[in-house]
Amino acid sequence: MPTPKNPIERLKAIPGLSAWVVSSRRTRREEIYFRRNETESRRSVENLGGRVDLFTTNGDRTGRGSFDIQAGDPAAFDRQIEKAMTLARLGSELPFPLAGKSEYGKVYLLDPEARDSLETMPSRARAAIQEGVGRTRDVRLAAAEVFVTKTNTAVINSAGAAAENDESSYFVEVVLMAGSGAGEQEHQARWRKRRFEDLDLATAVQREGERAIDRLSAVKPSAGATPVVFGPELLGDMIAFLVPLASGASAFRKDGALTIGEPIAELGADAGDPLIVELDALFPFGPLSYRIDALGTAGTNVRIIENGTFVRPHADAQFAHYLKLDRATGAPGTPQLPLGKLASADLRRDRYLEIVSVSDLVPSRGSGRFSAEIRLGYEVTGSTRRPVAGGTLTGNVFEVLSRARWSKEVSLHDRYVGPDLARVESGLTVVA
Amino acid sequence: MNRRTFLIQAGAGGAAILSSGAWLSAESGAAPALADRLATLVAELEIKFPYAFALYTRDESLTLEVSDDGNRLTTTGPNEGIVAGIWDGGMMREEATSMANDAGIRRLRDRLLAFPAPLSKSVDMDPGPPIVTDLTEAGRIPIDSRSLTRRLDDLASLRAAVTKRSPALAMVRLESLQGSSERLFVNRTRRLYQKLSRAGIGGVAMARKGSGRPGFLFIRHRGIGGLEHVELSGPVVDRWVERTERLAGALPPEAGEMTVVTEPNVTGVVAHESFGHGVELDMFVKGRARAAAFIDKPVGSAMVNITDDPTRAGAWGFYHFDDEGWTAAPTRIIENGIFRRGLSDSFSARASGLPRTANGRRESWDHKAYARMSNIFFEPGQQTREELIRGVTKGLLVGHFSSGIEDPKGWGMQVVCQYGEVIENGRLTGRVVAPVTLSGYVPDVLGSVDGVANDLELPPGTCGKGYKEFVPVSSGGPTIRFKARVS
Repeated sequence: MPTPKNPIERLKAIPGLSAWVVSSRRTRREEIYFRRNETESRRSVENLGGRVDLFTTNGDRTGRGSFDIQAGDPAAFDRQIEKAMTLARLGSELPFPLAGKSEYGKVYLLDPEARDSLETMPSRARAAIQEGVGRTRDVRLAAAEVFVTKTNTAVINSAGAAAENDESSYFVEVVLMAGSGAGEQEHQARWRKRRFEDLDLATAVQREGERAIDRLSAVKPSAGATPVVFGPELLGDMIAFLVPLASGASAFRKDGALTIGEPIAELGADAGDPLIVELDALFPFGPLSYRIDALGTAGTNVRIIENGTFVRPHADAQFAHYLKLDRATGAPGTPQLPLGKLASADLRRDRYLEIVSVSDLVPSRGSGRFSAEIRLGYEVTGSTRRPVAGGTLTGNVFEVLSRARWSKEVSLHDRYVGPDLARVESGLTVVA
Repeated sequence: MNRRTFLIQAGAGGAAILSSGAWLSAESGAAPALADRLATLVAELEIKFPYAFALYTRDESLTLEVSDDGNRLTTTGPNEGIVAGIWDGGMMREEATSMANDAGIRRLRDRLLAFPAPLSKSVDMDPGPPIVTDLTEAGRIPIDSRSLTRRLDDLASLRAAVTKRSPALAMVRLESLQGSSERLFVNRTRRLYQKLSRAGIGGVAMARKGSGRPGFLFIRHRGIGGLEHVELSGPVVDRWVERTERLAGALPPEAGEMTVVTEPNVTGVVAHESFGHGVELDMFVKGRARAAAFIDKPVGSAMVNITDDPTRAGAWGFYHFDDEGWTAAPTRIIENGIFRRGLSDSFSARASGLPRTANGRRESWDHKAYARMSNIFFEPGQQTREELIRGVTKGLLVGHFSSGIEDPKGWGMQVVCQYGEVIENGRLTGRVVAPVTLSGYVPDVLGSVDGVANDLELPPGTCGKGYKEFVPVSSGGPTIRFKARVS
């Protein structure tokens, strides 16, 4: 198999090549699928490969040609280089330098349990799922999938960058059923973590089982504007929408809804807690953490939103150069939001609608507006807590994030690190 | 369609590639040479297990992009590998490797043979009647009939022409796609090979009016074949530019239940989310689909006919056989408003006792097979789009879907669209709203269908199972009219 060391001598000998990046990737994944209590399938996947990016200087422009390295076929490597050079000569992007040698921070992304016992981890996850289901009466497991992956990645480029990293990931999806006959209700949940212990799976499944039971008595929510409390699922969706809009590529092309130096939403007195978003590639066991990105830039931390204003984009080597930024910050790291001043219990006060999950949040790229079907929520008035489902929640991501007040409890969630809960007083409406 | 006994030509040099544009066809996979070795692997595994199979997949693509930044050529893949599986009478065990060579095959064999033998070999799995095929789809105008240089020039010219059409356009990015998907399936009776060429064109435009939020509109045309799919007609471009301009500063729609007229790409997503995912039979055997209780019962108005057809020539979800070696054939899911049958893979057909359909699909060698859609569509009717609009007192014309989500158990559905235009008294008013979310209870939505036009289209898309397992599909139909909740 070509490794990052082998092809480099080949690349150095190619005339007309101005820069290159070679990465290798070794992945091993164990999967288990079950329906009810029966195992439907078990799978093991081994992926040995990598990627090569070649750059040529074409007049005052640069071109790039790339291909995936295929293990076990060294002859294909030479053929692919030839094709990639052909493609690179046709490109006409503005030139940019690759990141050179750097200090690569220590980032912990590999679960020792996945490292040492990969093959047994799906069965442990299964046992934890079954324990969680067993804790809630009248809930049944319809189906579940568990994937456990460990990966070694190495990146080397022609400017001197070189680093490798080991990481692991767990993906767990469960489908629970409550009730029977025509009133039977389904409730789905999924988790992604780097460490088994961060899943806390039996407890998480128990919580979802209780939600499955709540769906049995859910009614349509009341229509109209309402204060809304929401947790990691909805907040994760919103952060996942915001981060790409704050990229160097989008800032350079001016094709996003955000402008550097301007607030993401004009709210005046309606603003909530200060909105601060940082991307930290070195956050331990963070979902998007890494040590070195695909072009060779070292993982780092960058603050993209400060007090509700888009202060600087995250940018890889290419767009950092185009935008004349002081440094490239690489691929976006793990989003971090600050803790708030109020406890979750204080955010859950008076009257509000608590959203647990919506069907799918797909905001408009231009306006940030969204409308999503409510899968499960709770209408709360004082001590009365009523499950609701159906109807749609409408609002604007930029305004919601700018109006939100954050809980002071923070955790490592599936897509960010930060508040467990948020509350907005206005700007969200339920259409029943 | 092209049928060849020997598909793979030796690699060409870079200069030859540049002059011919044969970027993909010059580098082919190892499939034909692998067939004998995979057959040997299957035979070795079946000494111990009742059933075994092997599947080799290879996928790659090249995207040519032209924008203000210049030309960018981006590749994915080649992603190739082998998955081999054994069925022990109770469950399927699979081993997969990216090493598509003898060493990789040996590893698969050794790992699978290490599993304990089943208690009984009397339980078999139907391998299907014997078939050997060797099929390729290169399209009407092969990709390599036009050089990459020429295609980049054509794309740049088209982009310049689009940009000139409106001063409000602040950004136009165009891209052309070419790719290929190879599949080699082997079991004890079958040796099936197919190579599908993929091609398409798409883009995104952004318009600004004053300091308001910009309007964005994406378009995408794709199909199995060649350069015949890399065309944007004048009327399509005109409509794209006009709608992008109108979306700048567009307000959200008036919320509530109303009559909507959906263009073919939105109609397709309605079919996909209502009676596509909801009738994938693995959902039946897991007790996750309400449709399981409605076989041969009405689920929509008599105007509703929905079919899944992987043999639909040129459509993005086309294939000759599925990833479990089952020969492709259409499945009529809803017939005149009556739910007839669902879509299955081998597991769900066996577990449910319902008929096997050719819908066992994988994202690639390193993913599991599930029951999946191919080309799903509302069948066309007799009316025209204009007639449907004329019949609306107050409602919305909705187009350009951006996402959809299913709820097979609750029979909810949600389709998010980039573009809506208000209809009043049978006429389009030019008042644009966005984004538009359509939702509703599936039987109510399908039961309210009261108009089906004759303008069938099969737009391309990518379908996930839950939030992963992405496969190419098309979801289409004609313009239709129904009632839904708009927000």
